[in-house]
Amino acid sequence: MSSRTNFKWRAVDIAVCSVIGVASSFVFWMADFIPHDGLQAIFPGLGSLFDGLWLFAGPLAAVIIRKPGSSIYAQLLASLIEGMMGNVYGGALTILSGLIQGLGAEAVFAAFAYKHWNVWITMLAGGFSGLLYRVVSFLTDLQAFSFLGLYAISYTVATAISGVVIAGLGSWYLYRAIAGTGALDRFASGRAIRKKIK
Amino acid sequence: MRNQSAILFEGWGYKRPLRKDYVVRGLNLEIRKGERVLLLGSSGIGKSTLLCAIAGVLGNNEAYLSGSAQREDEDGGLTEGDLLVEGLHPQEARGRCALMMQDPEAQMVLQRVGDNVAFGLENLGVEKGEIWRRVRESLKRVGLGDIELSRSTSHLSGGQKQRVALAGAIAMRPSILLLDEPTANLDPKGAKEVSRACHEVLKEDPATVILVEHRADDWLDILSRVVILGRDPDGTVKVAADGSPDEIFSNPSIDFDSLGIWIPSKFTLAKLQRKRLEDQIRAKFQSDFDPNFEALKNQDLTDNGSGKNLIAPSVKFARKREFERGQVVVQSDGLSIGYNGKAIADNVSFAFESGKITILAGENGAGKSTLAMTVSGLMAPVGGEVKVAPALSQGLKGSPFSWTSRQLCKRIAYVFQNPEHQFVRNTVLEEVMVGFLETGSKKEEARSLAHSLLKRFDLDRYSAANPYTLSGGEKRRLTVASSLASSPEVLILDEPTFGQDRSTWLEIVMLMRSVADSGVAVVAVTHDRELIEFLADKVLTIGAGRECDIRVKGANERKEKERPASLSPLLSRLNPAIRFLCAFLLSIPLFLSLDPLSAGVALALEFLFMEGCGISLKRALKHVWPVFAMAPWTFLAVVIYGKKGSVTYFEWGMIHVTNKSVYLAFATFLRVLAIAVPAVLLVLGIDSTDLADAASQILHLPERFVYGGLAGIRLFTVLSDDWLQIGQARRSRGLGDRKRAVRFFTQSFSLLILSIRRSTSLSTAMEARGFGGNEKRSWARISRTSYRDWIALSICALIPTSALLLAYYCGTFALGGK
Repeated sequence: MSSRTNFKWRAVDIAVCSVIGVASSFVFWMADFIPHDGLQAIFPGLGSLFDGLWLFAGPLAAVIIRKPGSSIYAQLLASLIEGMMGNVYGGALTILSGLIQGLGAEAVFAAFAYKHWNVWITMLAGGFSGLLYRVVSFLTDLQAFSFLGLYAISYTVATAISGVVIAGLGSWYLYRAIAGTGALDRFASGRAIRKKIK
Repeated sequence: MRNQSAILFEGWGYKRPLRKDYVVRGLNLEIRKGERVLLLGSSGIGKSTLLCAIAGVLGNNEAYLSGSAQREDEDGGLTEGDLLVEGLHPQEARGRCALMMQDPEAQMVLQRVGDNVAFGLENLGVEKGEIWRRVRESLKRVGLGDIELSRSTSHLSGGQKQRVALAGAIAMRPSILLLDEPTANLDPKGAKEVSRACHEVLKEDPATVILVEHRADDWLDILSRVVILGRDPDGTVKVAADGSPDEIFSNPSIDFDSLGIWIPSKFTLAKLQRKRLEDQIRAKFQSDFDPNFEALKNQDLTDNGSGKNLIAPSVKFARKREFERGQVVVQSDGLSIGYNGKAIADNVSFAFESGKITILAGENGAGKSTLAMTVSGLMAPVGGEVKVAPALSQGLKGSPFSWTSRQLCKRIAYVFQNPEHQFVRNTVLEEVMVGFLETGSKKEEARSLAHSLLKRFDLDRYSAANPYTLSGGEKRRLTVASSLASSPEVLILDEPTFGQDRSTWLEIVMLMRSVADSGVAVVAVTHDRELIEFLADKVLTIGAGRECDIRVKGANERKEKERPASLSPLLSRLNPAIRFLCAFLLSIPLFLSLDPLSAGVALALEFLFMEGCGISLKRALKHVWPVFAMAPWTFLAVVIYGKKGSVTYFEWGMIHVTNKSVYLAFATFLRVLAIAVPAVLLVLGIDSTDLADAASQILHLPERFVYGGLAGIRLFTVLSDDWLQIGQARRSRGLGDRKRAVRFFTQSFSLLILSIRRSTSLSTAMEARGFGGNEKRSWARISRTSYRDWIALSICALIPTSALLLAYYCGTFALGGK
């Protein structure tokens, strides 16, 4: 897009990334009320189809802000606030998960050197964020299930799919909708969309 | 020469992102040290852009520093020419300039008053003792010497917020003070407060001042120079007039009207200007029917080949109305207004008539909006009734509040103060079509009706544009147009002229007149004196005074309730960062083993610990019940899908209930509780400002992100008001009957856009206070740790350790649930 990429965060980058994090925390917190484990008991993977609702802050922030660290920052801030509002998973575990989820999405954008921004990479980021988070969760809070068992695999696959669809595809189109309103004109990401419209 | 000048523009220009034309181009202007300059010019000439450029908050660093002719900054803006602030590039001079902006809310960075004033000083690296000395001194200078430093900014009036912003600006001891319409968003009382505060400050201060303000009346005595900007046909911005206030405002050759400038009333030219205005409006008033629209109607009919009259059935302002002019359409009947069931005024009496303009006037917070919203069916009456004439109700019973959204929008429309609360669609055309579609028009019909309505409002050329991208005046016109689409008989406008320049002001006044002339009962909530003078057919005053038409009970000051930082007085004394560390120490080590013993013992010890901190078992359970609601499901999931053991009790498809899965289910159940319960209790109630201080000082997290995040959190608490208003706006537009889920998602999206916009302007305010620079920040508040914190940490480390050790010695320890 722009002639050269500037990796230094501006004040407006921090402010908008923070608001995305804070707004996402409400979605995270509401998603905590989905009877996740109940749905899992009915059919393995059913509950985790909603996991993308916990994963979208990172990819969304990254495609808007386009600076190194935006996924980690937004996802971590969102889960920090989610944890402070109080949820069934407990603050510490929530924040730890947020960090891992953010790292997952960040890794994908970093792999493309923060230079390529499109729906495929965003879907990949959402999916990998989910995959990493779910794999780690089988080493921590889900130790009661065998790591390579059918249950764990279907669970993990469902989380990754949800990440691809909700946190990847969803974030990408949410970003486009936001940019269409002109709210992101100060960002290269916003101008890329609006130029096409005008 | 250059040493004498505070600000020097040489051939300077700036182009905003995605715009075809430069806002400012080829500007040459010098402002000398100590001058007090009033900067005037029509809306869109770039006055705010100039102030932002001087303050160094336009674009980013490199654009100013590179020597090339045109530089693109990261905002996508383009700069050309030179700008020097006290001989330096504006960004290097940051901290010498202080900028005060129009929107009070956008300048409140932190939650507490004192912290807000201190924010700029921290960014400048001022030492702590000095910070608080200057905070108190600055607050005193703006007339807020008595305010508690810990008072929440969300409980301040607009005038108080602006004075806090001013205090924050002068605390930085700037040599240049930039005031960008500091009173535009305030009621007369607030505006007085702010201009008086500015006067007090500038009496002693030698600072150079640049003021942008549409109405200069209150400022004349402190001004030494007036600069009027004009635009050449080639787009170059030049100084159209420059001189002392007396010279400028007595110069009859300046075309103040087309520059959008109000001449201060003490000058004789002002009377002439007023006369012209009156004539213009009277001309409009006397035309009972808008000739423009008649012409448009005919044109539309010929455009449409079918020959069917498309307009007449739906657009009421073109058809014969059911009422004669001056008929009462809405009145009160023993009405009490208020919120949450508490009345702020009883026996409210009013009658709104068709074809007339009624003004609801009174101070902010007096209940004008409460009355207007009650009448428009957006708030429930506390008692009595809003009585509607049969011709308007058309068979509907009860107060407007009991009607459905669709029924409401055909009858009474409410135009909100902030147009952005009201937008529901992605294009201007669709925005207007909503009203037609909701009142039964077919899509094609709605489209052509919307086009003709847009033509009438001179907005048709933007029909494909996104509503958010219009200018302030255009946005306002659009909200009126889209409210009229559902052809209401009553149109209620909240502060329609707030913060508008003279040209836009006149546009709105004309618009209201022509809407009223078409037979609609128009009600405007306002304290704009000129608006009342030129438009009001009837004025209703609301206030606490005896002379008011509607008397409200003395509104009691909102009491500050100190929120406890924890359920436990002991925990609330711990450092917030330590509380988070405690939560981690308590829970994370438990992942080492999955067995009922370690988890159960840890859980028991945790409850003991909580008891010791003063949180009884009962209270603890009250706060963590959701954890107990979820844990049984987790239990069930492990029982049926958990690791298989040697003895199988039940088998079906993927389901295997075995001795091991049941054992692990018990263990998981207990461990879920042991991990979640204390973590929730430890972090509940932490104050976000304290946490941010601790995060940067104790945990040494990057400060720009910590405080950026903190500002984001504060911003979001402000947005609960926005949420309410967006919901009301949707109801008023006929979209309130949609499915709850649909309403929720569309409303959330609007809120997200609004918060991104707010955070963008907040970031400008933060930068203007020196945030984001490379200097080392200082801390106004010290985050401390004491022996209590170390004791708490040790206990929190001991609990899981002892539980795990016990499990190890008893042989139940199972690494990762092996």
